[in-house]
Amino acid sequence: MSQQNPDLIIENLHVNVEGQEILKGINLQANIGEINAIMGPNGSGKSTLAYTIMGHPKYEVAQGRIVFRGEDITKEKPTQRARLGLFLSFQYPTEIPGVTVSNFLRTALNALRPQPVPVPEFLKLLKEKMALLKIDQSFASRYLNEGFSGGEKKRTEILQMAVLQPRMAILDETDSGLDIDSLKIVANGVNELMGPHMGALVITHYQRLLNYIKPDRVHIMMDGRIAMSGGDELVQKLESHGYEWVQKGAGLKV
Amino acid sequence: MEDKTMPVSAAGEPEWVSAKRRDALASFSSAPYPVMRYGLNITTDLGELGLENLKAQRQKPPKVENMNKDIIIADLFTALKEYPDIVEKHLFRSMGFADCRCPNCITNVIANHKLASFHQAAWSRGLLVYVPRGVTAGEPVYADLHTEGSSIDHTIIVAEPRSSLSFLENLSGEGKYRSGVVEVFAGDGSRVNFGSMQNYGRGLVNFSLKKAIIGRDANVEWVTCDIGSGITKSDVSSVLNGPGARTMNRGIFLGSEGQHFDFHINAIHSSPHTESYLLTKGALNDNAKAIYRGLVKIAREAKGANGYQKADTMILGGRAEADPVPYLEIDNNEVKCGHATTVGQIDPDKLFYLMSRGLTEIEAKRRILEGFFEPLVRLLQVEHTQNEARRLMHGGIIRGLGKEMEASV
Repeated sequence: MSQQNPDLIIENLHVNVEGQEILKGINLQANIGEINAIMGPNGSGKSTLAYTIMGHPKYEVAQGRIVFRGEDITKEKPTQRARLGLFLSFQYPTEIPGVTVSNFLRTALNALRPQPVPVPEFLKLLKEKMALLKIDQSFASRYLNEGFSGGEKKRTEILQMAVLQPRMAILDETDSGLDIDSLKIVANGVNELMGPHMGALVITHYQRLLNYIKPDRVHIMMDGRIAMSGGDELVQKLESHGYEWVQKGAGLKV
Repeated sequence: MEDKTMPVSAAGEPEWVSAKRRDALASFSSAPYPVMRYGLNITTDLGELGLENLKAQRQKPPKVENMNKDIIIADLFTALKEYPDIVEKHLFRSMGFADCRCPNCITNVIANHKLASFHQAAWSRGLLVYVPRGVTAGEPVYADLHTEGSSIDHTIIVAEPRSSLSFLENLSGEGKYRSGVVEVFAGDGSRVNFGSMQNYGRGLVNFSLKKAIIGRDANVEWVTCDIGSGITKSDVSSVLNGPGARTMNRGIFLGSEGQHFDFHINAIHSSPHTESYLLTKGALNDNAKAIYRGLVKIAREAKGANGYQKADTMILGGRAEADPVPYLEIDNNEVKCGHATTVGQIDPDKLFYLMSRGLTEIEAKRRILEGFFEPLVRLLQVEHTQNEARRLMHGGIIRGLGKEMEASV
């Protein structure tokens, strides 16, 4: 695997949002089967990176490119990115009134699969994944995210990931707003799903989630750039020294 | 099935009915056609209707499904013979002022004067549904009102105190003109659930007046779904006439290709502790146009009243226009009242969310729109009507989105 090109390549990525430059030359590589953590203080551009990888039209790529599984997806629509195996677990999932969780997930799964999935098979899959994430079965017939608590929304995001089985999932601040029990359930779910066919970019402000989901690589973002990359030990170092330490040591690439 | 020039009067109907027709005909002849022009240059022109010379085909009597023997369901001409007291007590009573002291209703009646008078002079098909005191009607009463050519349909619903009724009208057919008046008399403590599914051919002008007089602690819920017709002028009014009376009024519309909709939704609070909730959702394709005027009127004596209205319109086509204006008229300080209107396109964040799960742009838009309507479609009381509404909306949404996609390429 190390001999081949990485599955996700982000090269010199500059991104503007409403005319303001937020990402200022991101370089990042990640493979399916690996967990990469992206840490950084508020405003460092972590969520912008997540949205840009997934192709939100508001995030304008001014320079650079994104390649996933050999395809340059910089200009692709989100639909095409999802079909290649990318997935974004939203920090603030949108409510879709009138569309049930079950109905939506079946539509999405059929959009991703070459053949429609038979209904009984889908229902079995959904039930199994709901059990894994300890989501009450009644959620299947509720409108997507409507009236869900913060924690329920996050769990439903991971449920979608579990059912759709992407190759690379971007988890954008999945830990925010979760109590410790929910955090454990979500982390356990993610760990169950990870394997040689699925990788993750775990975006988080705190080390808390990374106590449960062990990253292979850790990248620290500051002011729209990757300031530092390293192994698991960076998490502990950040915990004891804080982000100021990265600032002071900027340029000190590990 | 002979053609007749309207107005008609039915052979053998009582003299008091014919007298009402003559009075109405005189008002009709002297009133001008309404000219409906609103802010955004939206015009609904009815001047060329030529109702004086309208050829009306006698329509089949309404087809009604309900097996409940405790309630009366009768063709209105039959009811004039068999239940003359009930009909005489209620026919056109809601259209007068006896039950409503609100000056706004006068305004409404004047604006509708020509068409309402024509209706009163020329009604040629009708239905009476009468639910006696304390009776629960059970299964929804389903009425199929099919129009061929032109029809003038009058529906009277009487729910006596502490009774309950669910009623659904299915309006279909091709033709030139359809006038439909519905009068609901909800007695003290009664519940009436009124659904309407309208899918006329695109050449038809649809004039619709619906009015409920709602007694003490009674509750009237409206669900109206307008998809068809060329022009629809529709007023739905709820007069909250006894303390604790409530209404929920929910409307859906979907328009395309030159359709005009003109909705007036009114809640008249004339008693204390009354509640109204008006919610309208619509989507417009192509160059379709919609006007929404919502009024929550709270009289001086209606202390402790609660009124809320909301109108949301999605614009799918570049040349579609919507002009929603909510009005609040409040004559005392002890009330809670609110309103909100939105006119917009599909939320780009919702679109991104669904596309990020692999749906194409058009599939994602369709899901969002169907989801937008679904909570209201679910309220239509009969499952096959819900499915019919979904099927029609699905078709309308896909066609509209398809054209937009072509246009944007």
